[in-house]
Amino acid sequence: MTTITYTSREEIEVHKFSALATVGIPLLAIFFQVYVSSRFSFLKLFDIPLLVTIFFAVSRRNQLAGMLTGCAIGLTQDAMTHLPIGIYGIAKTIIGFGASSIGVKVDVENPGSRFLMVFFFTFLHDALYFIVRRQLLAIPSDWRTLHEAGAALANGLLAVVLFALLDRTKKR
Amino acid sequence: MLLGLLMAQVIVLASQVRRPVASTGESMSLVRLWIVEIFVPAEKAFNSVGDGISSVWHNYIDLRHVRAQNHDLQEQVDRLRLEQVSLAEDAGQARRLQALLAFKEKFISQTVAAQVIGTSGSEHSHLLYIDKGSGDGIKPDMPVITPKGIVGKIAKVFPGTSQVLEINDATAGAGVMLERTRLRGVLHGTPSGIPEILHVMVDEKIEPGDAVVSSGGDQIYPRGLPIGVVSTTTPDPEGGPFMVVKVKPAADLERVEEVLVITKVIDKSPEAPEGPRALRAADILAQRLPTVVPRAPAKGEEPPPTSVLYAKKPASTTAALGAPKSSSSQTGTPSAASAQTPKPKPAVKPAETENVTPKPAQVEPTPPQPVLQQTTPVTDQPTLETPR
Repeated sequence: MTTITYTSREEIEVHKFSALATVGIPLLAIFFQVYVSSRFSFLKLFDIPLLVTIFFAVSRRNQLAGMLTGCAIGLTQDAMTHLPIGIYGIAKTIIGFGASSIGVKVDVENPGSRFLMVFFFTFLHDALYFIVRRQLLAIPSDWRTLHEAGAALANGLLAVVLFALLDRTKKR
Repeated sequence: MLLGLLMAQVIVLASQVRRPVASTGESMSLVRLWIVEIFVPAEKAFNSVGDGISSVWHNYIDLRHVRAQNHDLQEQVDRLRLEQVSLAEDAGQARRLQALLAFKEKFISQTVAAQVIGTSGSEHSHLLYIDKGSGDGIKPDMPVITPKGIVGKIAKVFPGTSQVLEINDATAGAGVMLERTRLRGVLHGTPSGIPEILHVMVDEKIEPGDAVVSSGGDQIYPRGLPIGVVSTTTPDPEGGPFMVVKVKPAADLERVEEVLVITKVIDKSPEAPEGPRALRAADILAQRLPTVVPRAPAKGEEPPPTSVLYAKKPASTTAALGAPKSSSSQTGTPSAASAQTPKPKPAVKPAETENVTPKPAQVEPTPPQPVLQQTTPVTDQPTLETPR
């Protein structure tokens, strides 16, 4: 039986996904975000495309793949807003890179580590979004620390459940 | 790697290429156009399925308490009818005054009903997608409302859908007016989604609950549409001479399902209301002057002008105004009996009575009634509320 440790890069399992899952899951996540949140506005607190970005990045453990996944999902999300295309794109590209880098070094199968990782990345994503929007584009923005912390907490909890479901789409 | 690079190049290319939308002439990013066109059909499909299920539920299953509700609604209708009567009086008076002043007003003449099919999905972008696009006559900057109040304006138009920028978005704004104090200002959305009125001096008397309506100054929203109510007023946190007036939107922007897009607004001078009118000074004078009953027009002859309106009524006939009309007078055809009536004589100058609908004399013997109200259209001369 193979024992996987967290210290050796070569021993960490790299997962692959079918083309359908690679394209379909991000599209489904964005569709859910734009459609369901029109019925239940509190769901805007969650960022399901971000969770999908993190999941694919840490599962593939490939920085280029993580970046491209984050970029594609972010740009698609940008296109659904009225703001310039690229704000979510930049934020999610960086998150994709960071998550894939972390995935190489840390156990990302454990629910606890998943929660902490998503909590941290959600906070970072919102901070990046805020910086790009306010500093680069000068669009009025507020940084509400408590609100962002609450959103990070909610996304962390959702990630534990969602990642468990998405694990089933991994190729064995 | 190669695919990734190609993909990146295509995205960069597409983000720079802009395609004009045929109906609006506005340029549109290809990336945005493609992505919206991918998601909108799915949203519409889900929406129609959801509506179908909802319709089955509402039309067949959830019909309990309908009788009681109907009874309550009937009572409400009765109550509203009473209110309507008093409001109609006020409105009539306002229209008469506006007509006197040649006041021009913008009237909503055409709207398109649309259903909300999605949002931006982001907390940072208060945006709705509706199921009507350029094919339905929607254009950028058209106002979007609900019966409760303003929702926002059209931001971008696609062939089958449109983006609605809500008034509470940080990039949105509107010209507003406080209904009670008539104070004008500019409403701006905020990142938190609570719109504020900017640049209001601290010494202005504004109270929570004051109604805020559109002022029409922005050339987008017609004047007088409800926007919301003042929720709080706080002094400027930076100690400036202004205060922050937060507004609670009248329309529930978090739960909008159906909206109306105002596609046509016309400038129109309000007309004085039809129907009963106040007595004019000339009428009173005419009643005091000795007059004869007007002559009924012979066959093929035009009826006499307006003298009948001001003729003193003989005891045997009712000379027109305020009295119940006979069938012949309603159709304007003089009856045989009317031909036997004495010839009329104008009691007032023609200039005072031009444009008045000619009316033949009525001969049915009815008890004399006081002439208090006119039932036929008259000129737009100023009326006097109190006779001199």
